[in-house]
Amino acid sequence: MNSKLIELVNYTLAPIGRGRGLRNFSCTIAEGDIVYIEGDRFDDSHLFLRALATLERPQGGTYYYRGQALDFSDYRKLLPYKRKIGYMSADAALLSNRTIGENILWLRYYLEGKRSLKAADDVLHLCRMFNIEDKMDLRPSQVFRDEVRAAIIIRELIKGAEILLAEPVRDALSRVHYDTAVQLTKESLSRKTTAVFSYSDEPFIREAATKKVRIVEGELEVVNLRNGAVTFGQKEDRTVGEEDGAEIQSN
Amino acid sequence: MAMKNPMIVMSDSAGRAGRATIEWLKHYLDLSAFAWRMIRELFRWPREGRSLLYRVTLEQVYFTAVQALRIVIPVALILGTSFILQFSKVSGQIDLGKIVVVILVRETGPLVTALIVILRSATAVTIETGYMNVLREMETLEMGGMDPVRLYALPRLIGMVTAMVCLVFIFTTSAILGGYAIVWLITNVPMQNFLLEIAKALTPADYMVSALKAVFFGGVIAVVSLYRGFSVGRAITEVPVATSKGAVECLIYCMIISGLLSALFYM
Repeated sequence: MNSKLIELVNYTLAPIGRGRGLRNFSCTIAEGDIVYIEGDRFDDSHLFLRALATLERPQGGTYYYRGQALDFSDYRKLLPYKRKIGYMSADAALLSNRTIGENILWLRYYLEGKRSLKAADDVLHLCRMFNIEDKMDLRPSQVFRDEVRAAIIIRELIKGAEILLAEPVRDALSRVHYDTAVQLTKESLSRKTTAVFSYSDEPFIREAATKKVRIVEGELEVVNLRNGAVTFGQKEDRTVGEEDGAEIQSN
Repeated sequence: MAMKNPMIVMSDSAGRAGRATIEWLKHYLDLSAFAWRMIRELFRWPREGRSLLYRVTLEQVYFTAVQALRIVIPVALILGTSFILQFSKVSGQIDLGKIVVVILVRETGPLVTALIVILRSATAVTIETGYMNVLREMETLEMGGMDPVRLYALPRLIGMVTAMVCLVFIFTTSAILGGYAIVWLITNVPMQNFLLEIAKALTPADYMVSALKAVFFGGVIAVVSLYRGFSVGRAITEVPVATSKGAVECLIYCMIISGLLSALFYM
């Protein structure tokens, strides 16, 4: 049985944007889980993703990371956990006062303690795939929007994260870059990387998914696509009937 | 038009005054807490991220000190020349050295340098920090497991204090030596013993006050401008408001500190 990576218990989140917020839900993401989110409002799905990234302080409930309850009273205590999460959401950003290359290698600069770093082969390979290797010394404002998104994807992929949180980037990426992102995602999923996708209509994600999170009017339910168990809010798991299961699979 | 009940008017005024006081107290407590956090960070020196910290600090010294030289030196020369010219006319040669030390070294030098740093760097730091907050770039640092206060704010504090000390020294030296050279070159004012008089008038307390003012000014400017930048929420329109409030606040604190230190050493 897979071990629990993230567990949110009796979690309540205040609304952001035009969302309803999320009320008193519980949710578990185990190692190797591939989850996709469906919801009636983008803001609520986005809120759920931000909550998983520990970027939203809950109004109530407990966040467990590998069984360890997180303390949201001091943001510094969350930093070691944040480093383990690859965040490729719509609001993920690059540092605008650094070059694309520095942005991609920033964490390595920080951890390895070197004043200057050359991109390793794996990074160069990714940059070539996204066709941005000749733009490494430009600032984010000097390149196209989809190249910024590509740099964010590369930065998060080389981070060595234990879980990837992603939002659809089809609008923000050109066709070529989107295909590259899809290819890299498929490679990640084939390596059993734990991942949560918001609003993704890519068939390969739906096929690979082990869980679906459905958010309607601020109520969250988790559907286990392997055995059809559903968790509503903090109620006990129940097994859905054949009809429900068929409906879920067809989504 | 109906008159408002005097009791209601009074309670409205009391409420406004109360809210303003609470707001004022909250601001100063938050600012003090932020300053305390930065001071504590100065003495925490973990190995992780140290080289990046050095690099960002050096960049800040370059932006605040080196790039400001082309403004600081001309301003120092203009002020030095004017002061020396004016005071040489109104005072005898005996007092000129002392007056120049009092005006340029103790008071005007540090304050004018602080004003230049506020106009150039404090506003830039508030704008940069504010934009980084709005564009979620601070979250980007956090998602990399990096503490924005340590990696972003601390180098700016160290850099601005270092830059301020260097700039005050450069300003004072340029104003005295450059001012003397210009007056000697373009006027007929007798300046024979001027530098000797300056040297005689300078006491260890003058060096101390000048250096202390530079350190405190640099610290206050960095803390206030960063605090204002970090206070920006999600709206980009908050950035200019925070910038102007921060600049005014920096200037007021610098003047208060200048007065207090002068009073402490010379009263």
